[in-house]
Amino acid sequence: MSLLRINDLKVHFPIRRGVLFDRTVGHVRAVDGVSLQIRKGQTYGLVGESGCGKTTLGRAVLRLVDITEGEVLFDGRDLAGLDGESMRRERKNLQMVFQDPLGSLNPRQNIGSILLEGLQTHGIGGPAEGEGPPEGRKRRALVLEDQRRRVVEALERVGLSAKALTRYPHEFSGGQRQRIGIARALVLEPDLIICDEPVSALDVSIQAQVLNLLEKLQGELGLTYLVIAHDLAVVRHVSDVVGVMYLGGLVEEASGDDLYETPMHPYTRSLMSAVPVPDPRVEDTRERILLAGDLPSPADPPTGCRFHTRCPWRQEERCDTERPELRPVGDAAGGGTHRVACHYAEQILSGEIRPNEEMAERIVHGAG
Amino acid sequence: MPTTPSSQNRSESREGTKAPEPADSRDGHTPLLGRRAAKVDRLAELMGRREEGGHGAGVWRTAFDRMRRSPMAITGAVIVAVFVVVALFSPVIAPYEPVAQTWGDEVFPNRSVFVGPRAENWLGLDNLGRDQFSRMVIGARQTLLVGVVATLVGFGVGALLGGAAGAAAVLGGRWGRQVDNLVMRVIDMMLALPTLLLAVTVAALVGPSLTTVMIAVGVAQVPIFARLLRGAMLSQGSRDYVLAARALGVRKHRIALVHILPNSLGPVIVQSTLTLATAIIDAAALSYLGLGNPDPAFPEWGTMLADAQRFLSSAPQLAVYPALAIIVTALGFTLLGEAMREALDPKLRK
Amino acid sequence: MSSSTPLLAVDELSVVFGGHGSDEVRAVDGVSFTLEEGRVTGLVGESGCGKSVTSLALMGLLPDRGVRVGGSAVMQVPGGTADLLKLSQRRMRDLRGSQMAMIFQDPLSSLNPVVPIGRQVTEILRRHRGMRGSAAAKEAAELLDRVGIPDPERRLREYPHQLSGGMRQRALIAMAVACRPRVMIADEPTTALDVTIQAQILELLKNLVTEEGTALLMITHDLGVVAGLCDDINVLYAGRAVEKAPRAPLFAQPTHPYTVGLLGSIPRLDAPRGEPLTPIRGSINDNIAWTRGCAFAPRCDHYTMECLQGPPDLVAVGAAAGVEGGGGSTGAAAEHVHRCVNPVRGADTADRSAPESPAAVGEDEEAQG
Repeated sequence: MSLLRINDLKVHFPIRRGVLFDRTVGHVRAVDGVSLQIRKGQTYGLVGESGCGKTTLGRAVLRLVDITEGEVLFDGRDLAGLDGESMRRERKNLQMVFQDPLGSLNPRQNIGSILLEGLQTHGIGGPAEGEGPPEGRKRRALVLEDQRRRVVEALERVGLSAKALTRYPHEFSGGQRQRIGIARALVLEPDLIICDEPVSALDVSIQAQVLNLLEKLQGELGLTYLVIAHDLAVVRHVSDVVGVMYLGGLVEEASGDDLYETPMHPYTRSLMSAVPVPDPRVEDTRERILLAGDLPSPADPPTGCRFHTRCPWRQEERCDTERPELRPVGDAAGGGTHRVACHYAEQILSGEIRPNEEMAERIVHGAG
Repeated sequence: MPTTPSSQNRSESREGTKAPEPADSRDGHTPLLGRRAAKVDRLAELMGRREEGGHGAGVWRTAFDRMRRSPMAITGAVIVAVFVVVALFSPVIAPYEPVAQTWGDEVFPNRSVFVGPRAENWLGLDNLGRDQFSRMVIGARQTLLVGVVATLVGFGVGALLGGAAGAAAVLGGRWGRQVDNLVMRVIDMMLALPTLLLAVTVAALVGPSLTTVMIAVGVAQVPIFARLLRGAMLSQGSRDYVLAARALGVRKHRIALVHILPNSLGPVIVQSTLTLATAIIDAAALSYLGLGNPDPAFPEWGTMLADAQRFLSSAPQLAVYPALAIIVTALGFTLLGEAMREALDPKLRK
Repeated sequence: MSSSTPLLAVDELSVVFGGHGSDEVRAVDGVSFTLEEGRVTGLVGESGCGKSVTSLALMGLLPDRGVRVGGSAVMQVPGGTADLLKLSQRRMRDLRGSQMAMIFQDPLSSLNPVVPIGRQVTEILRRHRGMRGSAAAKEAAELLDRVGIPDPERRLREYPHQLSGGMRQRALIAMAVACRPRVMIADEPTTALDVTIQAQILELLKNLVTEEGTALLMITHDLGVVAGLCDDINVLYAGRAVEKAPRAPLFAQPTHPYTVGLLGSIPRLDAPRGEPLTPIRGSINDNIAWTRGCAFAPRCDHYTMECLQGPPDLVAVGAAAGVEGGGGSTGAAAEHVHRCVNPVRGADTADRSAPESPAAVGEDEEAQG
């Protein structure tokens, strides 16, 4: 049963120009037709380089940006169709952890009020309806006490103590701030947490603390994660399923191990070969596919396969005219979870199609 | 000890050379625990010094701490404090009635006979034989009143307009952007008029009085406050914590009031101290132009300056006193405002 | 390796900010390393370890006031040697660009936004190599071509904001190599870039070093980048080198607990899935002054009483007092040094998965504020 299911999601930002009247002169196709699903209790990792639309996708799920087209089915309900107020209520079930731990905390709120805000907004806490004293001061006190208990519990879960409640964000270190950001999401007891680059602003030694914390919380609370990051190693480490995005579209999706062992999309292969490994023996011997050029503008994406302008395996036919669908490949009987958006994925894998040496700036084979 | 045996062996054998206990006390639990506690204590001792200061210190508090160390802020604060105290207690401080022409027979402006500072009149007499010091002191009260009320008018109306425009632009979607657009075009038009001209127009329409000056100077400040607050709100509105609040499901009006507004007020509050300085100068200028309070019972520095210019060649001190008072007061507010701006600016923080 | 005289020998470099009394901050505290022709020396560490301050000190780019720089940095220059830390501002300006060049993390803010790329390159050629007019323009185009910028003639007329991040970094490298500097300092040159672009830039730097014989000082927080590029590596912590070694022994047999911790903190692409990370607990704020003991002790799982009895020295691996043998490090002892009285041995590296109290990770950190 998938908790989140995204069908052909599109987010296009209008490019406005004009002195007196805004005219729409084009669209940035930040997310351009993405479909994926995340099962309950699973971690889905979305990886891609800057400008590939991964952050926009995460925000679109929470409707923090306007959805142009498509469905976001959360627990069976289509979030894209909800009106503002219903969506606002729905947000207690989907939470987000941000990249910049300091920037995402209001500098003038102390930690207590940051963490209480969500509970107060959604009226969570206190005795159940019909129980306890009905209205009035007594009930409010009970509610506040219960909310405080929940806040402290969330803080302790992320490894901080109640002493933090009266302090302000700037008094904490980067790692602690990120823990506070996680606690803020946790306190609402959401089903899904979207982690947008949860560790990329942190020092290396702190990154591991936060990654381990996320894993621990998943084990304890049965959370479902959508982890968005540019670092393939991080994503692979935490995710059950990894989706690779390029220029607004999903180009490959597979379980972490499958993706690492048999990357099928040319972009995934080059991405994988570019991630540095902290081991000189590996670094010296492995093959490296250096892509030529830069990411094309998402306002004017290439026709056909979005990657064909940089693809070392590009073919004369189909690549520049027909946009490949994300299709299941390989061993369909064994789960059939490997999906790839490339016309020639099988031929590339089998070695039938060789990379075009001119297109790859250089394919560096390990000097050995 | 969950460390691996090899490291433990080594660490102990080495500790053994320092400590009096025998090196092979690995089996005995008590010395082991004791040593472990000792090393934890030692670590805590070495790290201990930074434990203090754990209480919650807000942005304003740290800004205040910084200002206390800035000579600029202290100078400004002292000037402003003296000014405010003099203005508030002026009837008590002033030794004589500001309108009483007690020494009228000693001053003959026509023959250029003036009386300078002396024991009974610290700053001498003005052209009508009134005590200049008393008039200066009473004038301070008028000046403060004009400055504060005008700034409040500017702050109030400006913040309302700017806040509404900013909130609409950040959170209101397409309609909000149009509301923002409309309000800001009106503000732009106000901004296009020179401050003094605007004030003169208002004063000319309503007639000369203290209220006129206050409103005129206040209205002239409205676009500055409005633009400032709107700009600050727009930049705060794109910050991640606003996104986080939206992701949390916080209602829009609460986001605007609890998150965006408090974080945007810093520059506006700094501006209001700076505006006080401008307002004092503007008010003086309006009075000088004859649009101020015509009632001689309420002397005002600008009016005094205007009166004194007729005798500039024979009694320059009459113009110097109010001019100096205006300059020093305006300087005080400016210094304080600039110091506050620096203290609140996160980029200048250490 | 170290038979010839090094191109640049940095000895006991220290940089102190603040100046008086307890306010002073020792950003760099006795760091020594050498740069040699055709080799890459790496400075690795997290934020606040002093790696960037080191590079600024060498380039003479630290502010004049409120900073005290100590130690020496002797560089081979035409006609003798010069101590970079004692040269006049003018001599330093001449050296920068002609003998040594620097590549910064953020290429956009290191390029002048209102001057076309071409003018910025030819300006350097004119200043340091006396080239003018069409000769300079031709050389500039060749430089851009060499760093892999396609269509260089057109690019020369463009402004920095018209180039992508990777192109800007290439342009910056082109400017750095314009005068064939003998020493190049790269401060986090790829941190702001995407991995595929990072791979391109690293490859470019590697080629420059092997083909031109430039000595490169690579400053980064990324151990992966170091593993692929650097020959000799210095791991810095709180302003001091805690471990230095050629790259093979450093990654194969790290001995300082900090290095071991860093390696255990990085998720590896090639590691089997589900292998847990072993983070270092606490944060960089949990340290003690080097003068009183090992600054890393508060975050270390192996610290002993001895670690807290004064500053540990930089000693050769295996030469430490106490038990000898084990890790097979005797051969490389002279090149592999660490600043630790209780180093991690081979066995520990393998099963270091159980730190003293994993649950206390956040609490420890939290206590310090």
